[in-house]
Amino acid sequence: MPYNFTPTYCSTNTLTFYTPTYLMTNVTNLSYGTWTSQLVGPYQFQYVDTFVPQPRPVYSHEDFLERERLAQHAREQAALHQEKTRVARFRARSLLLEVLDDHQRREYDEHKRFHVRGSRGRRYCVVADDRVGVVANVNVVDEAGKVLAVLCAHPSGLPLEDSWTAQKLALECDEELFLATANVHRGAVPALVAA
Amino acid sequence: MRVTTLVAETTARDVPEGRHVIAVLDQSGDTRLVWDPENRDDVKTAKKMFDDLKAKGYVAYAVEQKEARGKVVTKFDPAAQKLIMTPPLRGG
Repeated sequence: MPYNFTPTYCSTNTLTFYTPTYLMTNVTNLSYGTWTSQLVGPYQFQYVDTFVPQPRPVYSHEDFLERERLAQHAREQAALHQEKTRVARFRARSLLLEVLDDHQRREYDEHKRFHVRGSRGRRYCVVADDRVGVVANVNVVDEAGKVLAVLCAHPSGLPLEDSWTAQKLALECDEELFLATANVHRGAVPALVAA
Repeated sequence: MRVTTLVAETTARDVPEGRHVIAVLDQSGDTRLVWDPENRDDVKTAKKMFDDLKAKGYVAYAVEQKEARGKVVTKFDPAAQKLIMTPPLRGG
């Protein structure tokens, strides 16, 4: 038998629900069932929640073993994915260190960032930090290090280090294309043109 | 610094003397095709891989082994010792 819980209204805009716990105690098994919400009035909050109890499922020992087997499989898949990710990031880091020069490598090791001189002469700071990732991690900086703009452009579906490699190569080799692709999170495009 | 040493060893092991390499950035870090510029079949395979990826929008950079700064490559160049191909950038 369905149980209807009708909310109490203070006005059309303000609504107060009471929790019908005394009704819920009468329901033999609230853990198994389906809640539905039905609009019953002209106002947007005038609805009735209905709970339809269903019989509690009975699990056999075979069901338990099957669920345990599936859980174990999920744990193994998660561990495999974690290991693949670890190896991928090690390979990506190796490639990143190959394309960085000595100064950039030192900056990356010590400060989790490196500076890049663009093909058009602008200076950029690529923040290569796990906590920042690849979103809005490219700063346009002046010679004193002041941030003029924050840009975001990156390939998708790659380990972080690969994305930083792609950003570094794009800035050094085709700065204009990078600027045309990037979204400007702080600063403005005219500032970039003037820089 | 320890990691840098490891990288040098890995690089030396992966790319033998006189071979060229195309590194394609992907989910596994990078997939490398090491090929012999003297071997016609190898050159053909490398060119096909290069053209296929370019058709998908990848950008190719020629990076010399001893020079960090690279350049954009639009056509396959068998003389390029090391090519890095990256998926296209997207504004985020």
